Amino acid sequence: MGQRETWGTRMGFIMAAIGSAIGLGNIWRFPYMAVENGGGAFYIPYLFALLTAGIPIMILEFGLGHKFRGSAPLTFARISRKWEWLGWWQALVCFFISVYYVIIIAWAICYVGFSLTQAWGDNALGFFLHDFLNYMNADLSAKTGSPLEFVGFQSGLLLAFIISWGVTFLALYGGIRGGIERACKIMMPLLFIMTLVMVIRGVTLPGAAVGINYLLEPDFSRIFDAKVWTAAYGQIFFTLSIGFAIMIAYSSYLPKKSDIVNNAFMTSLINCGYSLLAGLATFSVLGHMAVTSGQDVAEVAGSGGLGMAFWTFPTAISSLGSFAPIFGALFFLTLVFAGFSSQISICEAAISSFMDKFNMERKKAVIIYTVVAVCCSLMFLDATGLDRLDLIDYFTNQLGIVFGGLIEVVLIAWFFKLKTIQDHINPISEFTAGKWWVVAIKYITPIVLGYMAIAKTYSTITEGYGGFTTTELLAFGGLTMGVIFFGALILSSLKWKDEQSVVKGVDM
Amino acid sequence: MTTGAIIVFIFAATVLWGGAAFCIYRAMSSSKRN
Repeated sequence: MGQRETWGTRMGFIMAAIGSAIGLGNIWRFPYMAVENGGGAFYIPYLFALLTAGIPIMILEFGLGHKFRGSAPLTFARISRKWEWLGWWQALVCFFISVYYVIIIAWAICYVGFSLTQAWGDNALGFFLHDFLNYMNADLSAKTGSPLEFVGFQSGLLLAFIISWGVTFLALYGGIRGGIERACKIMMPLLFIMTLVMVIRGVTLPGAAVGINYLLEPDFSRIFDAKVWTAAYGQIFFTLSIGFAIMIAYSSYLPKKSDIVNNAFMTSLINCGYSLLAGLATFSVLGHMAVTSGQDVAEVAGSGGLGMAFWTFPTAISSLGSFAPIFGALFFLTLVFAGFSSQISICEAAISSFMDKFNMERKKAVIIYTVVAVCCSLMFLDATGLDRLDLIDYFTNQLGIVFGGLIEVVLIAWFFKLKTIQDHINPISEFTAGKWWVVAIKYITPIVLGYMAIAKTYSTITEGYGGFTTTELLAFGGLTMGVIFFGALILSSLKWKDEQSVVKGVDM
Repeated sequence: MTTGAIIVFIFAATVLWGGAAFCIYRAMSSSKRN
């Protein structure tokens, strides 16, 4: 195994880590999560969860990657060969997420163009589900097919699909410094500038205060609701790209004398600070739409997620008059940039795993990965692709990541000496990971993640998901989880191309 | 904006962006800079 690549600068690493953490969820999930869970009062459990779970896990993953200098499978194999499968579990979760995440970026790219003419007209919902995706019939009364059927390839998405995979490929092919770091150094400042422009324009719109009040007005009675705390921990866990190999891979490229603890604080705080900005940008516009249309914000705001981005917000954009094309293009470009910086990191976590295991050159690994992933992504270009995306997203995100993160913290906290990590990171860091960190990793995070994993598994088994049939759930969710589970076992049972690499580079 | 919303915004922005600014300052002035 050759010399491991390194980040060119500390800022480059921070940009890439923030880019990974800031994703589509910061824009379309977080503000709605806050609104549904006590508005402004949600910030209390949210910040508590950030300090007691988010930042501690981030420190742990940065520390693991830096100490063991490897992708997740190599890192866990270096701790114990029996744990290598956990790294592959996380890497395969990344693979499945990357094959559908790229489709959402492709949609956002299309919508940058649609924004210029407001192609969705006065029916953004119908435009997205029928005209754009052909997912439902013209009167939106029925789906065009089951996710088990192929009913029609959406050739209109092909160019955006090629751009999405093309940009991802180029960033990965260029390597850590020349590709990923360079891409993030361009995309992240642009993302923040565009978001700030949207915030400034948004809060100066008539009626903006109505939307912001709806977002931030605290309902302190909700603080005592256990569901609010679970939602806060869930949001923190999903927003920081922790628990699925990315931060381990990224920190493995840090030079030997690099800060760990402060880098984790910066990445986490800036990511969550961005969510606050994104909430202001979106809810000020929704407030404006509510006031101009004489409706309540709750009526116009919808429920977040894909719907927020592709039909609620386009409708709100149309209410902005002459500024609508620019605001629309800015909004969808923020989705594109936030999506790309996350997509690149998701792919890198998986690619670095194969590079380490099979001692592959980066360029060869990136080409093979992209070819396989593009072939898998094609199933989402079908008219019924939205359902497949929804199913695979649910199982990989809600179950795959949570179980991966839970097993990771339990193994590291209870079957490995946390002091070994502390002894590695504290001398090189600007802040110290002390007793608070040990308590968070050893007690708080396993309890919270354990509860999330059990609750989600129970609800999936007893209630199913999204109204899908058992066959559909098994065909996509079950199959995906099966491939991840057995794939991890098979890959971890294979011999390392360079067996010596597993014991090299460890200063235990 | 209501007083509650303003207080929440100031609180969240101070913790998140103030905290981030402090960490960045700490990194810039650190002897362990890399």
